[in-house]
Amino acid sequence: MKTIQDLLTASRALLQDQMEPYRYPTADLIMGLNLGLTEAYRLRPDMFVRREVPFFTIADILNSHTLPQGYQSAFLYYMIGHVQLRDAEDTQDARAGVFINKFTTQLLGMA
Amino acid sequence: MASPFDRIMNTARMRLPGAVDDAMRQELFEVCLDFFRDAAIWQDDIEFVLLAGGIRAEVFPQAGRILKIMEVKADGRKCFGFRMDDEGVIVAPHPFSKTIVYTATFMMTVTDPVTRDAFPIIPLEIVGRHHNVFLEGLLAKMMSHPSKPYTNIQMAAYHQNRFKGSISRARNEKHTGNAMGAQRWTFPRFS
Repeated sequence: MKTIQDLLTASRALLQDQMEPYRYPTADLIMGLNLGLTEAYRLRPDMFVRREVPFFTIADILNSHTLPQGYQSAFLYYMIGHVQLRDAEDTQDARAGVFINKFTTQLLGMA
Repeated sequence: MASPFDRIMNTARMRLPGAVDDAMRQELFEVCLDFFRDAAIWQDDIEFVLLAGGIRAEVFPQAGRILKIMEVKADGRKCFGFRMDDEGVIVAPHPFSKTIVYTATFMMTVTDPVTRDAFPIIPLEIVGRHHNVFLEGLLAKMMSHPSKPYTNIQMAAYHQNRFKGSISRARNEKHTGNAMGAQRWTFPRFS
């Protein structure tokens, strides 16, 4: 996953949201990624040595990202967890919690 | 171009699952600071000219930072009383009546790399010869981080002990001129 678009595609596959019009707007998913990055800064400041925490917008979709290799799936899970936190018929808070906890576990632990 | 630190980084990546390279590079700088300060293994000879009547001269190393003056010589003879109150500014004990060219041996250390991708700039032969010292120091520092996948306080202490031991051995080797069983001072030869 080299670009933001790659992350969006992977997240839409897990969200079963691959047909337009999308259930989860692209802007919400990118917001989830940005929040995941700030959360990562809190938990793992070593990921941002000598650089600012990146902030992405819709205009950056085709740009390559600089997420640390080995942690891309963690950010993917945070994006999915974030959009599933909202009150919707198709999802449950428990599932959102699982994804966000998975993100935290991957950042802090060996599992 | 391959960096002299590649072997160290590759081994460290295997032993520190989940560690990011930027953090390892950052800690490698701290390891270098500890190593060069405690082992005094990076020494550089720099010439400087002290003008007649002056007591100050500036020196500019090609790489690294000056930590301490180790020795000052003029015409092959040791000179005493030289100080370095500010980095790179040599102060003579008193003004001399003629201009003299001195050669000073300095204890050197690393300067902070200017870019995120850069490794500390140090002589290649030191990295090659003492790569285990850098590795032990890096592992010790990384494993002592709080709440990381690679955090392991016991192993951090183990590697820290090995790091300190390796620093002592490196300092001793340098001190004895890398001669087995030797000491720095020997009886003068009269033959």
